[in-house]
Amino acid sequence: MRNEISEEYRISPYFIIFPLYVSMVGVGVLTFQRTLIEHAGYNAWISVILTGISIHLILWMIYKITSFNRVGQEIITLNHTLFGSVFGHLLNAAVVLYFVYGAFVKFKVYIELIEVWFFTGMNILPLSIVMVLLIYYAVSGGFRSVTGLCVWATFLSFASIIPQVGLALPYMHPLNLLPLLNHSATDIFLSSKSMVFEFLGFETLLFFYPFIKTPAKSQKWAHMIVMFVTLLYLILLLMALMFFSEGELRHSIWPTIDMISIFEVPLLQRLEYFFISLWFIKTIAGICIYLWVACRGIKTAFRMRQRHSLIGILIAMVTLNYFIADHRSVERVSELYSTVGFYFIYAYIPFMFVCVLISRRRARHFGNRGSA
Amino acid sequence: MNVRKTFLLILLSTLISACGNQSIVNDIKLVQTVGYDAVGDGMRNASIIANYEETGKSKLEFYVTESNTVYDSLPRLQTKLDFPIEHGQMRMALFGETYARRGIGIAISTLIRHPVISYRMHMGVADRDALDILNVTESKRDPYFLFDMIENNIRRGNLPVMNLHVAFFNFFGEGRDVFLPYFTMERGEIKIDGLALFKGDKFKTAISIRDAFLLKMLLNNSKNGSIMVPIKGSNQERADFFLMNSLGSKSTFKVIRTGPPASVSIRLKLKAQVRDTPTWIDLTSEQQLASLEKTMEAYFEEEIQRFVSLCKINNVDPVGFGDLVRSKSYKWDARDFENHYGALKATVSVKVTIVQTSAGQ
Repeated sequence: MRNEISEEYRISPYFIIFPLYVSMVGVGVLTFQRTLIEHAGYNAWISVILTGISIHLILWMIYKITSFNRVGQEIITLNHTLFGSVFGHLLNAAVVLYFVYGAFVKFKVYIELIEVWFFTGMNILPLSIVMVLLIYYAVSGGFRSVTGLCVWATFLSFASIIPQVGLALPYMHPLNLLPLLNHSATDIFLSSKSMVFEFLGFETLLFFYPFIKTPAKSQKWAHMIVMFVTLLYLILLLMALMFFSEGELRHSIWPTIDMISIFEVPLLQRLEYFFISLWFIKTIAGICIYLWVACRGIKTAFRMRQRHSLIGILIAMVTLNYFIADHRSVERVSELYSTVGFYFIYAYIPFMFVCVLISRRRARHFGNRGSA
Repeated sequence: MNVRKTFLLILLSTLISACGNQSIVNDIKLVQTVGYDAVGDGMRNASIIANYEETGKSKLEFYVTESNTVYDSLPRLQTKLDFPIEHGQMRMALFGETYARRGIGIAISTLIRHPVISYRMHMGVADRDALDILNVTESKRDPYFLFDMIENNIRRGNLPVMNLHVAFFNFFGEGRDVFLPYFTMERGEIKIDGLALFKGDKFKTAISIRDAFLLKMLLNNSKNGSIMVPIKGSNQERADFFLMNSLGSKSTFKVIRTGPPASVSIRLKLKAQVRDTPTWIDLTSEQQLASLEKTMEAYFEEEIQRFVSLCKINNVDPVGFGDLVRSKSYKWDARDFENHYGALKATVSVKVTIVQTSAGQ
C-alpha cells in the first residue's frame, strides 16, 4: 500500500510553514475574540498561550507518529497497518470525512461573511460555483500547486494584519487588561477549549508529511509557525481587548473587521471591504489544503481517483451550502466541527501516539528476541 | 494543457467580476445625516440625502418620516424614494433633546448591528428638535456639515476624541458613561455648545465647552484646545483673563484606595502657549512666567475638582473612574461602585509649563 512519492512532487522542508499557516488561520481570525471571552472574560489571553503550548505538544506527537518508520508515513497507511483492514477502513473513512467537513465549514463561514458584509441579497449559488471551480483548478494541480497558492495567501494575510497593528495603537486602552487574574482556572480552561478551534488545521500535516523532501528537517519550521500563529492570535486578541470595552466586544460579531473599520486611508474610505476581499484567496487556499488532504486520503485508502472524489466532494459542498442558509445553522455546523476537531486533536492523535509507541516497543522487543 | 489552464483562469476571473452588484451614485440614495426626534409616543426620523446632479454640485434633499420605533423608519423612508437607500456613507446622527432624554439605546443598538456603518461616524445631541438644527445645514449645501464641524473641533478645538466607536466603548463598557457633542443655535447658526453627558442611554446634563476642555485634558492629549484663565493682579478688584492654548497634555490616573468609597489621584502635565495676556503681565520676565504657571496650576486643580463633583452630583462618569477602579480591584461590581460614587475622593495635581509666548513684545 506504500507508494513512494517522487522527488518532483515534494516540497522543501521550510515550505511547510505556508500550508500550515494557511490551514490554521482561517476566517476564525476575524471573529475568535468574542467567543473566547465568553468564559474567561478579559483574562482570555492566558487561554491562548495555554492552547498554543498544548498544540506544540500535539505537533511533536504528530512528528513522532509520522516518523514511525524510516520512510515518511501518513496516517491512512498507519491506520491500516495498526488496526487491520476493517477498523482501518472505518477509521480512514472517519478521518477523511472530518477533513471534508472542515473544508465545508471554511467554505460556509466565508460565504456567510460575504453575505453579511458585501451582498446581503445576493444569490449565493453563482458565487459558490465560482469558488468551487477555482478550488478544483488548484487542487487538481497537486500538492505543489496548493502550496503555491498558500504562499500567496500567507503574504496577503500578512499584508492585511501588519498595518492593522500600527493603525490601531492610538485607540488602545491598556487598562482594560487589568486586573490580571480575576477568573477561575476553570473559566480559563473553558476558553482554551474554544481556542482550539482556531488552531485546527495543522493536523493536515498527518497527510502531507511524505510530501516533504527531508521530513525530519521540517519539524523546527512547523514548531516555528505554530509559535508564530500563537503570537498572531495573542496580538490580535490583546488588540481587541484593549480596543473594545468588554460589553462592546460581546456585541461585536467580527471584532477584527470592526477594528479595521475605524481606519481611513486616502482613496479607500472603508478598509474592511478591501481586507475581506483579500481573504478570498486565503480562504480558497485553506479549503484547497483540506480537500487535497481528503482526496489524497481517499486515494490511498480506497484506491479512488483523486479527480473523481474531488468532483464528488465539491458538488456535495455546493449543494449543502445551498441548504444550510441561516446563521444559526452555520453556527451549529461550526460548533460541531470544533467539538469533533477537539477530540481529533486531543484524543485521536495522542491515542495514535500511544499505539505507535506500543507497536514500536513490541517490534523492538521481538527484534531483540530474534537477534538473541 | 498549459493553454487550457490559462484560458480557464481568464474565464474564471471574468466570472468573479460579474458577481458584484452595481450601484451607480445617481441610482441610489445615500443617506448622509439622520436626525431622531421624539414626537408624541413615537419618533420622527429626518434623513438628509445629497442629490449629485452635476460634478461638484449637490442639492440636499430632506425626508422626514414618522413611525413608532427606529426600526420602522427605514421601510417608511423607502416609500418616499425612487431609488434604493444605502447607509454606507452615513456620517452623522443627531438626537433631539427630548429623544435623548428618553434614551438612545435602541438607536445605538441598531447602529452597531449595521455592518455598513463606519465606526468613524459621529453622534450628537441638539438642545431642541434635531430637525431644527438639520434645517440650517440645508442652507450650507453640505450633507456632512455637522460631521466636519465635530471633526474640526476635535482636531482644533476643545472636544475630546470621539466617534461611534468611542461612544460604543463608553456605552457598553462598565464603569464609564457616554458623552456626545451638544449643539445649539446662535443667530441662525449652529454652534457646538459643549458636551451632553449621558447616564446609561439617557441624556442627563450638558456641560459647557470650557468643561469639555477639562474632559479632553483628562481623557486624551488636549492639543490645540484653548481656555480663558482668570488672573488677578495684587491690587485689582476684578479678575482679568488671559488665553491659554494647549500644546499637549498627559494625564496619569492612580487608584489610591479601591474603597468603597474609592479614592483616586489625577496628575496632569500640561504644555501651554500663552499669547494674549493683560498688559500688566510681562511675558519676558522669568518670575512673571513662573507665577503665571502657578496661577494656571491652581486654577486647573480647582476646575477639575469642580468638574469631578459636577459629575458626581449628576451621577455620570464620562472620565471612567469606575473602569479605573475596576482595573485595580479583584472583584468589582458596577452597581456597588455607583452607590458609592458620590463619596469618591479625587486628588488633583497639575503641572503647567509655558512653552511659547507671543512673537512680539
